[in-house]
Amino acid sequence: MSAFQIAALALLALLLAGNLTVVFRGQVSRRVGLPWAAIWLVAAAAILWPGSTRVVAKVLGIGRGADLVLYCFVLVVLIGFYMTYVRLRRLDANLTLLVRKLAIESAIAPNRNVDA
Amino acid sequence: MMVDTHESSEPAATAPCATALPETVRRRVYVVLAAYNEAACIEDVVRGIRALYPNVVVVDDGSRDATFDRALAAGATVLRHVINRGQGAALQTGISYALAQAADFIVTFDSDGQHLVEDIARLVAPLERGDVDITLGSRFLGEAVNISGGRRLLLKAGTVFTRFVSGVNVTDTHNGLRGFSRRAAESIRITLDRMAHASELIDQVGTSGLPYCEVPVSIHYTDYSQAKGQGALGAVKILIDYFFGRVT
Repeated sequence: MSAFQIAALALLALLLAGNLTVVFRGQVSRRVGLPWAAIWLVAAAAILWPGSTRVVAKVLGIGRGADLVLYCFVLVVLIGFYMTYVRLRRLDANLTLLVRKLAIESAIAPNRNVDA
Repeated sequence: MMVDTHESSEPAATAPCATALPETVRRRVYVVLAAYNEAACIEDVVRGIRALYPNVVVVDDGSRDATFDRALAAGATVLRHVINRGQGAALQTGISYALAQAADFIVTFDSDGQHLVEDIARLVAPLERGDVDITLGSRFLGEAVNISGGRRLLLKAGTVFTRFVSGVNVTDTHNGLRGFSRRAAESIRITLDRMAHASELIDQVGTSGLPYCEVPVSIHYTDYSQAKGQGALGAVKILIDYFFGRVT
């Protein structure tokens, strides 16, 4: 095994361990945590067996294994950005609802003796 | 004052000014203002409105100046957003509050002194008669005093875009002067907090199926208000916000 493979696999093993821990402790939902674990596993497989990317790429009609990795990376990042954006917007909307509730509850009517 | 209803194909005609609403009607109107750092003129604006309309609601959208205190001193009911959320959010807060106070008519009004108090009556009269549920102010049917060429062009472009996207045929889509019957206010829900709320509002006017009409109003641009308005960059932000609002 090359130095890169050792280092990368060690890192991925750590990430996977941490990932599974937070999932099974309930700190992160399975819906989010398990797909990430799958990603670490796939990355580990691609690093452990570099030839595998070429095989998969050929099946999909892509020239090189490295290209496949790149395309997958771009897709994952874009989808990740979009989902994060959607979540941020929802957070924003909820924040407004909270601020609104506070505003309405502490509304101050003027002293009715005020000269208009 | 005649109004151009969306069903009629006749041009808007002018009739004797019906700007005098009886006190019994004016009492049922809630005028809602969203204000962000408007301490300079909010007091005058509120006093001007209160001369005729007792129910003025100012939503202080997280201002850093004395907007809240000045509005309160002028006799408005003041609500405060502890964090700035945007004009759309502030207007919805004011509208929700007014509905909770059993308002029969709700009129949104800008807090920067661009609008005329006389136009409130023009917006309320058709609502009170029951002709329509929503009245939309239009500066292009009325008067746009001191408007810069660039701003006029930008607004016209915004109008064309909104007509295309929402199917609602109005001449002025980004006019803060709007009147709602109680029924209309209850069915409108602004979710886009910042400036794209205007396009969202027009969308909802269209999908609500409620009758609406445009009312000629005057907008008076001053150096103060022009500096605060939306430039071309603001327009791009509005577009992005609006589209992502529809998609998400």
